[in-house]
Amino acid sequence: MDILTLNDYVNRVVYGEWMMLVFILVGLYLSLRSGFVQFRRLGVALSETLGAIRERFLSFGGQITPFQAAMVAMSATIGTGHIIGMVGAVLLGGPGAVLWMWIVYLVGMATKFAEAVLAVHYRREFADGSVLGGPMVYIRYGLGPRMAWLAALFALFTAAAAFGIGNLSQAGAVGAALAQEFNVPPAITGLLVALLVGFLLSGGVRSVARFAQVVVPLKLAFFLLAILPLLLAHLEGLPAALALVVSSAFSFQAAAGGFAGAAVALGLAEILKAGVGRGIFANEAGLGSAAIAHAQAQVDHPVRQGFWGLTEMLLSLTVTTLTALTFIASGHWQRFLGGDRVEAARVLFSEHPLGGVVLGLLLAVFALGTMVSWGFYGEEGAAYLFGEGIRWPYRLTFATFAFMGPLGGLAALTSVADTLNGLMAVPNLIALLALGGLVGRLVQEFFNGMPWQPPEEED
Amino acid sequence: MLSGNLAEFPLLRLLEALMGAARNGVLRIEHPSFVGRIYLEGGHLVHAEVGSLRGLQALELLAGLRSAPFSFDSEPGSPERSIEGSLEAHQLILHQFEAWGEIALPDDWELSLRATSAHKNAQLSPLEASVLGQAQGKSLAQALMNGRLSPLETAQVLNKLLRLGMLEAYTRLAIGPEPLVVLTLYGGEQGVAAIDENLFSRWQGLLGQAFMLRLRSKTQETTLRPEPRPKMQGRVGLFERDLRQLRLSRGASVEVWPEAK
Repeated sequence: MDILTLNDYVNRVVYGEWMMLVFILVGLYLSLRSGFVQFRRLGVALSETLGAIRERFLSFGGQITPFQAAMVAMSATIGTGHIIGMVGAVLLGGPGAVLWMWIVYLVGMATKFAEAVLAVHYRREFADGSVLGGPMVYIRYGLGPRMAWLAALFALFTAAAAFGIGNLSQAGAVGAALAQEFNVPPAITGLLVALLVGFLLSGGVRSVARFAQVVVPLKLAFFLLAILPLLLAHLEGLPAALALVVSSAFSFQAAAGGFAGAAVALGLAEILKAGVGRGIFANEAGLGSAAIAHAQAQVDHPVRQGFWGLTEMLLSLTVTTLTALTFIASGHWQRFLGGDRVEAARVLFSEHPLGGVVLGLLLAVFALGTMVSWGFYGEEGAAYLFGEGIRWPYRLTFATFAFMGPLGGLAALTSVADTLNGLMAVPNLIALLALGGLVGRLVQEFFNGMPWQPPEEED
Repeated sequence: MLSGNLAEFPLLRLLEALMGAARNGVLRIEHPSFVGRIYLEGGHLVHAEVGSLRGLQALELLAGLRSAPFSFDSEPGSPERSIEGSLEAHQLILHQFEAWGEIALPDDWELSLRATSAHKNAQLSPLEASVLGQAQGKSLAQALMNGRLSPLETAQVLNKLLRLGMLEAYTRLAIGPEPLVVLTLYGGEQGVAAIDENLFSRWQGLLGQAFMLRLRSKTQETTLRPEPRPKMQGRVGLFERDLRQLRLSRGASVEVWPEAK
């Protein structure tokens, strides 16, 4: 068995139905342990995050504020998958996939919450004020030295996966968008992206956070400017779209409307897979990536940062939902069912008053934000494995890959990185399962007004 | 020149000694808040002054002092005469000292006074309400010197109000207020303000004793029990009930400073 065959096999497993089931079960378990914090404490979560937005630059004494940490996480999460990926999910599973995606998001909220809570609880703080945290740290210090290998595995997967999902795929998307809409040569795009990413990563977490706090609102504003005119144009189709989401959640049949005019019949398994897959992988809950960003926040109690995880999920859900409903209300999905998701998205956004250029710009901004945050994630993973000395070599390598991304031709490498990205979930979900009780205890303590007791630091 | 402290030589004994020796001169009493002077001629009290108080009223205030440095200078003569040398006046002075003996005001007249929440539900006489209103925010010495009543009468009312817990005496410190931002704490507790553990240690170091926190918002001021917590820099954590009572919300700017218990 050659390496690519092995990669294909592992890829099918980590993105397969059984793994999805594990994601959901872990999410349900964490919901239970946290007392369904995502429902019962949603009001508190919103008042602690969006309600306290005027405190966004007010630090608790750390290098970055809780808001900035959340922005770094959100910058990575809200990417091209929220548009192209969402369109793809509807094409694969029909409108009913959206309902399953919503349900999985609601479960995943507890997972993201737990990741942020544990990341803050177990993070390591150094004399210079810098912080190292994320699943590798909560695995190592939460599960003990005997599980150090699992922590190292997570760090390795993260450091390597960042070159795929966080670099080549994103840089490729930026290159394609700019080439298509503005005829920018891929080499020029690659050079500009590499310089920007390299420059931002060189400034460390502060620089990444400063960029994220600008780029995330920009992403959301761009997205609303892009999607709202389309939604308004198809407003009359919205009630029918919503009805279709519910009515086609278990089975779907289209007589002859599908891609190439073929009849399409979708069973529950296909609808579930498309919806659940989007509900899991669009928001990264369970992968553990966002926890690396949340760990950087200085805050009086880990649960307070956990609320940012919930808000992050809500915003992600809003973006995917608006994309999906607009796409379904437009009716284009019927023509492209089972077909090319990029082409379908292009047709949808070509209806925008500003034309198809909107999609190009949107994808470019989304991809750039994701790249910078993933560069930071990868660097943190590498630093955990090899120490501080690896940071600059990692940054330079990351910038080099960013240059190569728009040029294309690294499909095999991207595919392996994609598999490693999926594999990140394995150690993370094991840790979440093992530390779910602690999350529940921290939630209880927080709502009983008790101060946070950080764990004893060991060497 | 004779000098000492009233803590060792109570004023009554000191005056009796000076009068018995038929001394001329001025007894100077230096309290941190004021300087009192009592003039004697041939062993007779002829004049006393403290701030704007003159004669028996000034003597009445000085009679309540339990501790203050004093010195007796036999040279200067009295600038004016405000006390008659009659037997009646002498008895009145003795009565003042006796009356002070029944009053248990704090020895430290530098302590500041403030009304507690207990006074809101209490039935106060017009006189008590008036004294309470005038004493609010002043030091004990200022309240005694500047009241509408004589110092002794003021002291008697203040003594009652302090004893009933309607008034409290506290140390006002020169520690400046810290501007902090309110953070919500969840749970059933009340009357607690969580501050950063480093700020707590700094204030404890400056005061050298346990302290309470005074919190001032745009509309009101209150006293809370401090609780040190990690990672609270720039914040003060208040429980939900206190937030509701103080009409504050998360993100509100307040001023907080310590006050010795």
